[in-house]
Amino acid sequence: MKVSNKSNRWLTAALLAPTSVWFVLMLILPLIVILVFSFGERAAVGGYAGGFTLEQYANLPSRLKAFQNTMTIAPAGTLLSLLVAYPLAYYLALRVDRKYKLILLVLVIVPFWTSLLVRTYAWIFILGGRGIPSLLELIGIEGVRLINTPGAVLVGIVYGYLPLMVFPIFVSLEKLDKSLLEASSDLGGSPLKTFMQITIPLSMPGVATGCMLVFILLMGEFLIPAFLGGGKVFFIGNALVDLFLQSRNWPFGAAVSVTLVVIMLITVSLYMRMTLRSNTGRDESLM
Amino acid sequence: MSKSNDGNKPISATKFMQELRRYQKGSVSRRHFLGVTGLGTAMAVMGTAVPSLWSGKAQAFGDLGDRLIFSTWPNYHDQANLDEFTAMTGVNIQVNAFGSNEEMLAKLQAGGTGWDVFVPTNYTISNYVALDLIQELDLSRLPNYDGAANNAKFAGPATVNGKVYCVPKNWGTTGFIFNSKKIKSGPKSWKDFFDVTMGAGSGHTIVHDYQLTTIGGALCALGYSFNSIDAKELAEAEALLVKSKPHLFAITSDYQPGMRSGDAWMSICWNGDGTQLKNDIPEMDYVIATDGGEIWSDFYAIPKDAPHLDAAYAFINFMQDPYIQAREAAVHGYAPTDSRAIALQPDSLGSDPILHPAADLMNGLEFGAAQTLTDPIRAEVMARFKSA
Amino acid sequence: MRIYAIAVFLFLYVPIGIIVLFSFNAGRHASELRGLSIQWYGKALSNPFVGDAFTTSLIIAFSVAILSSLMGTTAALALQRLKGPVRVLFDGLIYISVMIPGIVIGIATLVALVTVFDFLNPLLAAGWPEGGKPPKLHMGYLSVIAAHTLFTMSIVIILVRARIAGMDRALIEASMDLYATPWRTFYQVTLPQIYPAILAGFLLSFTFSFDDFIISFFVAGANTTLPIYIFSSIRRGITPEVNAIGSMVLAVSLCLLMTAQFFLRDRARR
Repeated sequence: MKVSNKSNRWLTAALLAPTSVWFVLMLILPLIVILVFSFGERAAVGGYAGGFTLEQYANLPSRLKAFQNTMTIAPAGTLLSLLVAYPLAYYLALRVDRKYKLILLVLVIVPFWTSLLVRTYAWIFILGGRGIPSLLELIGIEGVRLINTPGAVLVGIVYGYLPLMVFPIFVSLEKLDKSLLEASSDLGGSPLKTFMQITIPLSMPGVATGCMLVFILLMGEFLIPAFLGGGKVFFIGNALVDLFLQSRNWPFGAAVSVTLVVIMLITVSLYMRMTLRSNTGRDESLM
Repeated sequence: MSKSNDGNKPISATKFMQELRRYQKGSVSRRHFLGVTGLGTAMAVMGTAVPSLWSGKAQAFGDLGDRLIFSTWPNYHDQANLDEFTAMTGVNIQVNAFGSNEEMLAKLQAGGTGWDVFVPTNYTISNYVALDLIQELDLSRLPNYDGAANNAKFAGPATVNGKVYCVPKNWGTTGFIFNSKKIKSGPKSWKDFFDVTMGAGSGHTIVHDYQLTTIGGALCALGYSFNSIDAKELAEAEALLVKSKPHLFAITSDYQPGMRSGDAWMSICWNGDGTQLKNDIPEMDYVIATDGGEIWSDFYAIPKDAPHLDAAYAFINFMQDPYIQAREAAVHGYAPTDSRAIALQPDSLGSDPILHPAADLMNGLEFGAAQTLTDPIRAEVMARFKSA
Repeated sequence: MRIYAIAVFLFLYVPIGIIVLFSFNAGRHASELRGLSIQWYGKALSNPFVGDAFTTSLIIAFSVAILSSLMGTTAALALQRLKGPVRVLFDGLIYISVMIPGIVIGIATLVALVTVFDFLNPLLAAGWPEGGKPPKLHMGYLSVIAAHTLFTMSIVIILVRARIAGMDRALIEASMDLYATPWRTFYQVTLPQIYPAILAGFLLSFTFSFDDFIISFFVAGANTTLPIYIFSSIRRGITPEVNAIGSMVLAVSLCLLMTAQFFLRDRARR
């Protein structure tokens, strides 16, 4: 570089300034405030009263079920989305004629352009008494209940986040060198062997990215369990909305938020370490 | 107000009303007349009286703006009345529905709601006043409101420290409703309610997402007061609720869709929803529980920082018109507190057992108590039950 | 394989079909079809609150997209020149802001801003000159834009940085060697190469912001975005108006998508 070091440094600082301000005001400051609040007490009429107590953290076990629900349904939903998305992404990337590829890909994204709320609402109808259960009654199966169950929430999750999973996997499969696959089959590799030993490992970055995206969004999910869980399938997100908008217990809500953030940091960094190790290569493809 | 306008107004107003209600069935001449006079007074007080109602909707009421944000409860209004207000004044109404008073309080406490009018329940008003969240009303701007015509038993909580903060809307009871085709045992009490929930009706019961009624119902089933804030009694109520949770269909205050679709067979229910459901589905039976429950009245109030104050007063005044009140009640099925409106109701409604239950049935009912709104134990019991 | 794909597309489109079908419902209830009509489209279009919500959402989403792509790109460019602890610090902040669930961002921002405003408002009122009405800080457009931008800005940084990493260094060095000014190098060499990433970031930011419910729900104050409007409509007992709004948003985005596709193809042909 031929630019003088000093002006270079000034330029870098200037370029970073707005972002830094944002991080300080919108990330660091709120997190500090939440942390401080989590050691406070609930005011008599609700809200926050200053103080220092560990009471809020001691009360965390009372939301154990919400944490459990989230920690089981979020990974399950991620896995299910992956299982549904992978074959589709594979089909789109490797099996579809070039001409239709783009169109089909667009068709995967289009549902994403309607509001998640409206799409989830459609499922209330489909899974509700007048939807699938009434169709089942026509063929003699009665008393089936779908809505307000963990299953319904899972369906909503897969539906809501499928495009987010399909896309990164598609991109990584698309990049995959077709000649490699051909070479494998030329060398007598069975289709299954080719798939297991070449396709899957090479698509791992896409899988990792997709899973990460979906998992992160699911950990804070509120809408889908609220609409399809009927208040019975409760996520941490729902517990948080409840604490702030109904029982008005801000300090406890703050403590739950802090806990959620800590859980996220731990799981996501473990996950990143794992995927990085298994891929060894530098995978900044999206994350 | 100029004399020429005074002479002019009733005629054009009548014309206006005739046009507006042309679509309505005949034989409404008395109500019709009252509606017209009610609106006439409304306009007189608005300070402007422009005869050309057709051309300048908004001018007839002065400049009220074109927006009003109104927070209320689910299934609590006749859309036709709201549309009529919009047609007359040019003020569009955004309706927000809430499932609990706590949620309304949380929003108001956080500030900046943008609400102009909302509908609090009797026991919350003193709290709102103490927290300085609602305005004292200028009754001179509500000529349709007649304090003397309102039943003091229900209208009382509107006055705090001698100042009037709201005007009454309706009163009613909180019991439960069940589908008699699905539930044959005819539950009569909250105890029955929870027994059926955990027995024959498992998987088909809805309880409110509202601490007062849901915890209250459980307390009554255990033989305690609907309003109890005793820690031990609340712990028992929580245990009962948590035990019944696997047998519930949903926890929501908007239970009509579930009851209508057949997914739910039984739900904690406000009597007006009971009427609405029974009108459409005859096998729905509303029950005032023998072991207690709630009697309540709702009000119109204006939050402290309401952005469209003029529209808010105009709207409340419009809704206080006895004719409008009666028409609302015909749709939502709750009894007015205003004797002028009751007089306008058809006899079938006046003697309806769901709207006007026999006095002895109501003996065990309690008005919600102010402290339940902010009681930390009740709030936490409800929150724990939901996340259980 | 093909059958599977068809099945997944059915899964994706049956709910959309239902939404659109019910938007033509003549009846009031969203769950019973009673004849066909386009009345709900008329109702939705003439409802000023829908218009307000739509405008609010558009303003917010556009501001978020512009701010994020500008700040994200500059930050990505600057970060690539940095090494050492500062770089590590920024990397950490970027990952944290992507990782933190939206609901926590919403709540934390709400709590922090309410606290700051409660502190500042009396000071403002006290320090304000006599007679004038002191401004009152409150939640609104700015708080939503700021909260959305935290997440989307970080996404843009990640996208642009990945692109820079895959960029041809030699070109930049060649340009420098030819005594091009840094600005010119940026404009003529770097920018064209990272442009696709910026565009992708812009679109992602816009989509995220336009569809976000939970953050706005906490920090929008009295403003109503389209998702907030739809949420409260669903709670109030949905009418087909919501289906009509959903269908219209879908139709508009489809049109935009097709126009973009048309232009891209046009350019590719040239």
